[in-house]
Amino acid sequence: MLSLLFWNIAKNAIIKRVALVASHYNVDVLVLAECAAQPADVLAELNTSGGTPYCFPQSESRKILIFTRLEESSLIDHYNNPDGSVTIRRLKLKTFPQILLVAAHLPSKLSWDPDDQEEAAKELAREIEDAESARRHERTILLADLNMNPFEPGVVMNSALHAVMTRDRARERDRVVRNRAFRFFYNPMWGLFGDLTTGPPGTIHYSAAKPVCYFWNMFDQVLLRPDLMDKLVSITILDSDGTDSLLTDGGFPDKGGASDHLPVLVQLDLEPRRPK
Amino acid sequence: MTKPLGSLWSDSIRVTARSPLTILRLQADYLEKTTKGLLEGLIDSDSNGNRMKHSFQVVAPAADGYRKELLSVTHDRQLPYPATFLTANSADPRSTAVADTDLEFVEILEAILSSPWVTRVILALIARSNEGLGAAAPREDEPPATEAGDERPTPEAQLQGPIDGAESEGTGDSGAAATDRPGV
Repeated sequence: MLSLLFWNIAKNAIIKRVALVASHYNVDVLVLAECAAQPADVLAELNTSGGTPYCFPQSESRKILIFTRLEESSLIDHYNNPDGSVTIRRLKLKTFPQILLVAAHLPSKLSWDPDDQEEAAKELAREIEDAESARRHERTILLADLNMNPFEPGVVMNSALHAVMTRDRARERDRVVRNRAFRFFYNPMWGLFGDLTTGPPGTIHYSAAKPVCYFWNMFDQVLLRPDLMDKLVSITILDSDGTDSLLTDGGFPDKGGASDHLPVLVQLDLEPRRPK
Repeated sequence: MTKPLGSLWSDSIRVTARSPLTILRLQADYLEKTTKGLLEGLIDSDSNGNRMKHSFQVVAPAADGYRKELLSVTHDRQLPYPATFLTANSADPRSTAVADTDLEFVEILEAILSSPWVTRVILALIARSNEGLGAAAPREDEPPATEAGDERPTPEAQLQGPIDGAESEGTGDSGAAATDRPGV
């Protein structure tokens, strides 16, 4: 089993809690966005609990940090975009052909309007397709703070991430719009919305005195290409570090003690390469 | 009258000369691309006294990580040429060939890697991998990757972004606001 975790930690000094989460949930690949701590400090904290040590595979990505307790040489830089908001790695596995691991943090709604965000999503989609063309396969997983909900144009639109809510639709692989085929992503996050799920209703909560307010949002998402989606075992929005809650008493993400974003844990039925 | 002294060096000197290890790594990457990641090339390097040895192995992750060595190359630890080949197929006419330059090395390596024996090994490993993958095996109807894919700049060439640069415009600052607001 391969466990991957994505967490935007909002530049908070919470690496001890990050280490607790990584240890408690047996995280193999830890992806951090907005981590203000130095990688060496994060690594030291991750490795205080014993067990298989984590490493920080060489990468030019400085905004999105990826730590792993897999064989260091199994995670290889493929591409990093100029502003540091996208990193694409090749992840070599033990008994399955290598996959593309994409991690991204797209611009916030605070200063980018929907048109700007849509353009950022289109650019990300192009970068992913370029990587897939270069490696000649589409075994791709995206872990990201998209700063958009799964229903927004940047996530849904054919020329952007083109992520759909069901595996049956994604299994068609692509969809033709104006005589051109556009690849699908499967977006399992649709199944985690609201209070009828076992976990929190979303990954981030905010309220505003405006006509439209969703309160809970699903900005942090995991998308899978059809060639990888059948390997999905589970996807969970975490509300605890294994010891203490990541939520306030009111049930919202604890911005002060943790982050305004909740971590997303995904488990895939893939056998990773562990150090000997 | 004395003629001005020009360069006495050979026209064969090129600043693009590459070592056996560099060439083998490149071929390992091509193997991964050609087989859509089904097979991987692994170069295992080892030193013994003044000699370096690089063995080129094919790994098939979907066939329980099976490995098959295709060839090895040895050379002086300090000077990568002359380089001596040793092919796993002892019947190959280049089984113990020696390359004095990188151009000769490429010529011999091309003959070995495109030989019927190596092609048979690669096809057999692909077949075994597809058997293990079942429905996840690559499809016949996939369009071939464009050559542009091959010519994509290396990761090193692409990685031109600022390392510790300021946040790009609009990415905001998580620690700045105390009230409810969209995430950053």
